[in-house]
Amino acid sequence: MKQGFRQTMAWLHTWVGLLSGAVLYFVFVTGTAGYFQIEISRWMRPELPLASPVPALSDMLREADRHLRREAAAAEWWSIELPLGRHGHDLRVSWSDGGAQGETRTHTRVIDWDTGLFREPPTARATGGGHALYVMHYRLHYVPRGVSVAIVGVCSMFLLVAIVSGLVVHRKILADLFTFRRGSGQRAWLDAHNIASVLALPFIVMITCSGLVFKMEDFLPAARGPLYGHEHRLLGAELYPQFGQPRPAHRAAGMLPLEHFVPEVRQHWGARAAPRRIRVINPGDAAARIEFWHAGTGTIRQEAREKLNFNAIDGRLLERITDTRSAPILAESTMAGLHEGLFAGPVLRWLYFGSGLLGCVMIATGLVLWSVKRRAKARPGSGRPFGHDLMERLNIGTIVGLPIAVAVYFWSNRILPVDLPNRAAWEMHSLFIGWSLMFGYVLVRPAPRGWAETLGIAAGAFGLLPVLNALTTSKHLGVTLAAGDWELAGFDLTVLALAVIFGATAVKVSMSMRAGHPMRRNIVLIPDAGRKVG
Amino acid sequence: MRPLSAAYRWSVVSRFVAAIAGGYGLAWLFTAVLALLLRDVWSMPRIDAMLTATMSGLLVYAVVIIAVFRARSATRAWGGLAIAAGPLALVFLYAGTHT
Repeated sequence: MKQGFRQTMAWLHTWVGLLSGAVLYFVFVTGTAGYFQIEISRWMRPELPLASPVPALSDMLREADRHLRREAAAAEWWSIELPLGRHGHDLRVSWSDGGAQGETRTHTRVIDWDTGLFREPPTARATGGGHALYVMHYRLHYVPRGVSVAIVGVCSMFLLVAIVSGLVVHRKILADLFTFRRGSGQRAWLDAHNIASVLALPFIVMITCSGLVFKMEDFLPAARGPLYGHEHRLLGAELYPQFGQPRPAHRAAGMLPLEHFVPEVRQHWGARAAPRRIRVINPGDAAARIEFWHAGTGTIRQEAREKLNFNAIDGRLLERITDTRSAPILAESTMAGLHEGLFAGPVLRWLYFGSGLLGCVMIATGLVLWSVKRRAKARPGSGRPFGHDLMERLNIGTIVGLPIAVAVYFWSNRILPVDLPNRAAWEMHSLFIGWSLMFGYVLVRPAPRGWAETLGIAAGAFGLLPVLNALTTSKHLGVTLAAGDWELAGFDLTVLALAVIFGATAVKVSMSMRAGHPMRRNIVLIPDAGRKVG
Repeated sequence: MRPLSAAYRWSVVSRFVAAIAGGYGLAWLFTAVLALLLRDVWSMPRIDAMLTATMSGLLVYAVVIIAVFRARSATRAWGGLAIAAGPLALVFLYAGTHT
């Protein structure tokens, strides 16, 4: 290109950001919500009991062991899911009967913490919960899998390019971090974009790279064909190995109690580690095996790959699966673990959430900056080109419309009839119907006014959620705060905080609207990114 | 603002196609060739070869996108892609017939 490297990179930063901004914003909003998917899912199933303190691992195993030995002595397998790490609040046991004609039945029981007895799992309304939001951040919605892989993959690649080119453009990273010239129109938007980007830079770099690595086998499956040919299945088996399942010896034998294995599991995984699931194969048989699956606490690496396999009769460790078996596997597992953040405790989880929000702000201010610069450049009195006006309206529909749509998703969870067929799907339809309505709204409203009005709607949609919750369920702030259930209370408090942010922004925008156009002044600070590059 | 010429607009479109599709193709070829090299020349277990090659391929994709926009013209960008892809394709075809 004719101009220098920095000008080229400024141009690239602008256009790559503009092309991928809307998709990346969607990915960041839904992915950030995903860091609290378990808490969101609990809020969306208000029929479930409040949180109770989780007993010690050995105590839980003793209860589960006793119940299974009594109720499922002849089962083919037992499975015990533990409420440890990021795995909910239920102590859940299930087992499978080998039926006479090969038909198997699986039974599931959940402990009732009040009585200490196992019972049928409690039922709750059908909902996609926080998990559905989380899945959307890579799977999108209403599109085939291949399409979502390509769109999210290419946009993530563009984000990586935008990071590199953005760094080239803004050499003075540290100075930018402490620079905010408020109230000066375009320059304030630029500073806001810089501050959000630089503050969250380590997170953004990490989350972009790790997201690409996480999904690389879907996005760039180039090595699979040459290396594996028709043996596609072996790829999964080599990446996520499973233990062999021995046939029963059909000879009864006394199994060691489950809690017997806890010290040795801790010895292998560290004191802070815990199992997420325990599987017993051939219980009560001479060929009985016990598998411990890691819960992801106390390690950054992805939990799914750490497993221990014991002989249940004599307690010998038979086999250990770990992701430290080679450097590439360890690298991939660490990237995946960093992306998921399952290892993060409450403080780190809030840091993930906050960094994710900063990422949303970075993308939003970047998109706004594009419009503001175009508007500043338009000749006075000549009116704005149709395309620029449309872009700004679409920006409003994306940046403010999407959070409103997420709020609509939560509203639909409380308002849709509990026995509605396909209820979970309709919650998701509500999100997209709400989003479409917001796009319709901003297309008929003048652009600057549209900002203030939609921000006000967003404040209302989030701020009234705790009220709606109190009117429709018994798990509202009055109850959850009193019981000290901070996860459930945290949802209501977080949406209130979001409402305050949206409300304050709405007030700010409408005030500067009255004082004259907020983004009118024309100050160009970076090498002109809109200039012709050939 | 000066109106942009049609030729300029097309050269930008051409660059984006080169970056997205051309870059993907080059990353694909690079990944496949590196995977085979790692397995056959370096005797890496194939799961390790696959992970290493694919992670490197992602990096190549990002670098190629930037290089395409760094190039002096869209034509030169396409030329660069072809020059890089040629030897990789030859190695890939050779390896395909000899393994």
